[in-house]
Amino acid sequence: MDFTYLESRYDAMKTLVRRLNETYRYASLLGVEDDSRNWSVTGAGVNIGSRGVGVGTGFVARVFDDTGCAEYSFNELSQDRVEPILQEIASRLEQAKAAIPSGIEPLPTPLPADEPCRLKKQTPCLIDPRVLGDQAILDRLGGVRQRGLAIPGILDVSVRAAYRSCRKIFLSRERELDQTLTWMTGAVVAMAARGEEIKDAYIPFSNLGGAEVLEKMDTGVEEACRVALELLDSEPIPPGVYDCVCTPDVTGMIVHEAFGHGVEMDMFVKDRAQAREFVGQYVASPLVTMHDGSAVREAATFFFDDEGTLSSDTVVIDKGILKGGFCDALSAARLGVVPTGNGRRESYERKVYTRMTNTYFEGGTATPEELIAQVKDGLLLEMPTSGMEDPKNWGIQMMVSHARQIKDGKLTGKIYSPIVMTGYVPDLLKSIRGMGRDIALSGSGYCGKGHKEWVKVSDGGPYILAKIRLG
Amino acid sequence: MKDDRTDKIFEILDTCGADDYLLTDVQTESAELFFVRHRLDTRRSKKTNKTFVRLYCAGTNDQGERMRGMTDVELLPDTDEETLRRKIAEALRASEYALNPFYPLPDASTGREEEQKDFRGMDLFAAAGGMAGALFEADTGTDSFLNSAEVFATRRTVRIRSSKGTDVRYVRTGVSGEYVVQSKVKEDVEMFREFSFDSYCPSELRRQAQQALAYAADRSVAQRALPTGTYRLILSGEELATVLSYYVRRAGASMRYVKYSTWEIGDDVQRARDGQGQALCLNLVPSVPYSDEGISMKELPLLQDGRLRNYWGPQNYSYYLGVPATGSYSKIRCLNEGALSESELRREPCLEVVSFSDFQMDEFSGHFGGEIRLGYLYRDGKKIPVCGGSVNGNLLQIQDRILLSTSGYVSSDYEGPECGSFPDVAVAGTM
Repeated sequence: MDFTYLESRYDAMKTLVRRLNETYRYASLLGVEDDSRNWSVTGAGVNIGSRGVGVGTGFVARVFDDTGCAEYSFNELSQDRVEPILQEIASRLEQAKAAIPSGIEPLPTPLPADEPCRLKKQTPCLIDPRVLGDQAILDRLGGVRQRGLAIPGILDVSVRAAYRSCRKIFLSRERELDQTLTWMTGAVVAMAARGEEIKDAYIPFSNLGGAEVLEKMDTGVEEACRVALELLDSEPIPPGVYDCVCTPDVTGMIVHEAFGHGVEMDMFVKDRAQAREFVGQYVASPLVTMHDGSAVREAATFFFDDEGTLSSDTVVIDKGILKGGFCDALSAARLGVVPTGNGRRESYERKVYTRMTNTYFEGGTATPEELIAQVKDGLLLEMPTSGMEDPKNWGIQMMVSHARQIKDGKLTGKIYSPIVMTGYVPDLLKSIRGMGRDIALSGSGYCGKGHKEWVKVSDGGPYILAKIRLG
Repeated sequence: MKDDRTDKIFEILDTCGADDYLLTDVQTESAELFFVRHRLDTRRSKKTNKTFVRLYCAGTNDQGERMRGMTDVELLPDTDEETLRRKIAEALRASEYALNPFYPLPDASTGREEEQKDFRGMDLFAAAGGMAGALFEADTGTDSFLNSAEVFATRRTVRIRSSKGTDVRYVRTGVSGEYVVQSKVKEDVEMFREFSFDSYCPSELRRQAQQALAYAADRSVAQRALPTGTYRLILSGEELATVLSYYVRRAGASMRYVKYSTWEIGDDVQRARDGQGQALCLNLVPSVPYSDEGISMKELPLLQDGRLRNYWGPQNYSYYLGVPATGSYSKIRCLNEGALSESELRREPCLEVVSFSDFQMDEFSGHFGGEIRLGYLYRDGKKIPVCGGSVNGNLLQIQDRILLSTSGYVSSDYEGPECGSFPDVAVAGTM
């Protein structure tokens, strides 16, 4: 993808950062140029769209004045507009000053580090979807859908793909960073109905790169249809605590929702994370080693974050012991630690928070079959659907589509749905007694902070065997 | 929003070969304040100008039937003419691959709606600061306190024009945000709350924050002592609205068109007539005066005594179904008068859940549920605060037995009875 817009605004960006640094104690500018496209073939029709979560071309300036950190987001920049933007920022800071409720003092925040650095990198993209073309992609998706619709009992099959390529340029007094990132995702959703009740099964796909993800999507539709039909005969699960084997995508949801959010260190600043008190202690089984960062290639891989901090590979849990969290630059300055490159924005229009990137458990030694064979009376959990964090109290709320019954080390064919996973995070992590050999990550979804601020993440790990409370 | 660039875009659109087009200009300004305890974390503001164009092309399918392709493109505010022409040409070409059965654009409409009176002339930082002040005013107790807060004031100026002659515009301002309350009376706990208002109402936010602070103190002493079983469940406010959203989703023209919903107008979709519950009367309330296709939006009857009155949706699916296009809705007004007084509502035994970590409603299966952050178990003459465990109900099995409270509730998503009583709901407890 040829990103010419930022190229044409580069000199104006440099001028603006220079002028801001003449006025403020610290100033930086992030420019984002986006190219996004999504395709879908569903019962509702064929669709091509250009809007996506967090997609947008524009700029965000960050400055530090006597009060602390302030930001201004905008989407028009030229040399002629530099002075009006400077005036706009000054005017808005005055308005904000007048509006702060009485008695409210600034949160002390040291200036973020600004070590000299220059970088220009891009992630690989083997098959550019724009070159492949809309028709070829829609034909491919349509072919997958037709295979699903041919299966008796299937009400509908939706097949989707989405791509985002963006260039980000970060400028400060000492840093000039430039990266181009490309990912592509897909999904197959099969639906089966009995009366008014509709059951659906969802299989996601993702890669750091381009339309090569379509190769993966050729597999999966038959499985989605089979599961949707099976779910018509599913039963509610008797609530209780079960020995559970989790597929890598369910493991990923545990990694991300149950533990990952709790080590986002902006939560440490707010006294909102129990994890802060457990650094250096066992929080999980010795089988567990957890990472976050760009050491793997998935949809959330990048070279620098939205505050201009280089990405890294953070070991969060090492053989069961909590080593620490990951951090954005402002929270790092407030906590007196080194930022880990986890300061991310939904878009140039939103605030930076500490966010996960690619988050996963390391693999162990067992095969999935060996883990299932260890279960006398339990369940195989498949297809995560949603989850919610609780960093303060480490409560678990996660939902998976279904659970398959295991008796005497074998799947019986009985299926339960839906499944709500609940309980206390360390109880679950400490109960892990089997860790699969191979890991898989999925980056098809987005992660919210609370109920907003959606950013692309991936998560995963191996099959695991643990004790989990289900309802 | 009439300028040289807009003239140029219209000139290109009129000559590019598109069958139709829809052009939307959106100017957005915001003021955002972020707090940690009673300290200012960050100030943010935003000013963006965006132009979105939907391009429609004509086509036919293999059977010779009339088809229509559509796709969209965003045009950056300072794009040169050559790039404008290229972007529009590319989008028009893409629309040829996204052919669907023909539907016309909505008939021309014109109109203009001014900003809500509350916000006219109000500086956005003043609005955000006023709402933040309401949160701090509520934070006066000793058992619980405000941990952190984010307050947003946003003004959107929207103009929608089409090749059919539509030209509508409106200004919409709102205040929204989230806050976390914390208590350390016994356990160190927190509760997360969101708010969204389309009027300037610091007093309502103060009231809600006071209630949240009281709930946090209760959660701090709540016991993980909820037995597994089935309960008469009381849901309130946003969770009640979320359950009722099942009927909204199922009545969407897109759901009906793809046959995910089999509901016909006039169907007794709630099947409450012979049951022991209330037959629901629900209206849909627009949150903007014009839809994204420029359709003038009105309050729309959805259910009358449990029977479906209307589908809702955009032009394409409504045209396919042969019903008027209404635009898309998210706010529900429940017109039922409550059947249960305060004391009847909480008659023992029952479980009232006032906070979930994330409450979900599946419009396909009818399942609803989530993990319990705070509930009250009414049993043996006591009101026992409980936490942990999860609710796992199915609306289809109990919708004929829903009873609503006489007390009321208002938010940007829901207006109507505050609480609903749902019988025989499965709960995975903590003991």
